[in-house]
Amino acid sequence: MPDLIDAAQAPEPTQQPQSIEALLPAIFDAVADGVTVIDRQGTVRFANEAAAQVMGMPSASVVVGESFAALADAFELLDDDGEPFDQAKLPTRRALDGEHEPEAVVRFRDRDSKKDRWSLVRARLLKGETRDLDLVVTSFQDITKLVVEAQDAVRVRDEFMAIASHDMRTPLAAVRGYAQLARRHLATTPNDLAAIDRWLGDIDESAGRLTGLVSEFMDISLLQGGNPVPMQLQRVDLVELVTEHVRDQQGSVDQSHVFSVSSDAAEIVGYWDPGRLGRVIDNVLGNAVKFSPAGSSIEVRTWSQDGYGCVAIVDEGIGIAERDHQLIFSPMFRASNARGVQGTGLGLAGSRGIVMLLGGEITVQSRLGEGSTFTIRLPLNSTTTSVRASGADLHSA
Amino acid sequence: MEGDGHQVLVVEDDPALREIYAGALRGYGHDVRTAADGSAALDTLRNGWEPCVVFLDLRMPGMDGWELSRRLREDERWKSLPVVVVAAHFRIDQEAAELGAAAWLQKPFDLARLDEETRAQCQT
Repeated sequence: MPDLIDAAQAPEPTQQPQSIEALLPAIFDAVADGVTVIDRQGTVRFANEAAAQVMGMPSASVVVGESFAALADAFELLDDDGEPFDQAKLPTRRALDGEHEPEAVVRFRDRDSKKDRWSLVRARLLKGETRDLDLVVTSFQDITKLVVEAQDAVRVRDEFMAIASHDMRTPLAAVRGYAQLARRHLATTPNDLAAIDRWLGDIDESAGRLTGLVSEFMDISLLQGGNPVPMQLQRVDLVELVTEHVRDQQGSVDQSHVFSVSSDAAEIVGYWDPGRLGRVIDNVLGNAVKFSPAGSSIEVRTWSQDGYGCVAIVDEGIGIAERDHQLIFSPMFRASNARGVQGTGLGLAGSRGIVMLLGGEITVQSRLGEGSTFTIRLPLNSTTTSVRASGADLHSA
Repeated sequence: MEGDGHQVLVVEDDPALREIYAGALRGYGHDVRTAADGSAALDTLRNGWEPCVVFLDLRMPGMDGWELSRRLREDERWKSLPVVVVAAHFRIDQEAAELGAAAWLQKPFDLARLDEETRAQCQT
């Protein structure tokens, strides 16, 4: 075994070990949390390097002997709500007033740079022989990283909620709308059951769209949290599935686009989750419709190759800039030329997550103004039974 | 209900909602034209349709609601034409205020609101 201690740093065996007391300042400097000792007069009697750093001072030696109030004056102290922190409620003050080990989260806003840092501040009274000799030990644990991460997580959650509620309102409006039309019609023309039947069909279809959206949000939520997605693998003919979804898409867009479907085989059979795979195909088809002009062609091809079932969806739309090719698969990313188009950027992220869980891949070939080709490749024998994708997978691009 | 119908323009890219809004407004006795995006709406106006209110979706492929609203404001013929924003946006009130819209309806809503807004906007 090689000696793990550098010989140059190893203590001379003949020397007496240094006393811990003498090492205490160095020990405190090795601590990541800021530590100060303040007397009743408010003078800093001790500070470690981390404390000096919290106070924006070059070193602990500059801090010792200074008034704590003067040092703190470089900062605006704020509470959780961003309101001025009541000085009387600072843990140091509360400890001096006799409270047992008070603590508080304090936001220090630098008066010059306006930058915020958050600290968990704890204090403890060291009683002196007389009251005048009392000292307070205060520790400052920098929790800025945790606070920023938590704020980011809350923002992402809020955005997700805003997107989810926005996207669900359109099919919900259709459900309510058709139901109200049907009731009005029933009141004036109670015998026209054919019209009522048609509206009921429309309600069912819109409720189906809503169900699809809710399922997609649930999958995205599971994928982002790195949780298993409950896949239902079964025998699926890719040619039939794609043909069905193209037909549905065609029916829902007023024949505004010209669809063509072709396949190099009568059937391409694999083991996939047909509901989820159908949503992936709907997403890509829906994008092809949304991002290409009325009257243009959308070509859908299926083929099988090297143990994979493949689908390509080719449109003549606005195309995607090369710098956005990977980013379009990130949750909530919208390409710069996609503004104004219904949808929120969740579709492709979810699609990619599902395709990856099935052991496949989804890729794009596109140039601005020259249309896009999305290709999905899926292993015919997906071994994905216990499916689990990490959040990182969903985000990595 | 018949007899005091108004001319209305509905701009909405979702075919189901277009059909629902038009059907409801016609049921209330109004005369309705629909358009699937901003440029189709401009064509309808240029071709002589004179609505007294426009129900406008915001997110649409092609020319969106923001752009159509801007074009209307810039044109002497339509600058005072009341626009009612009909959208699913989280802060639809802010969006409507920024566009200078007369009112807003957040999806989904009671279809009777279409008639109420039409009457309110067309009688002023």
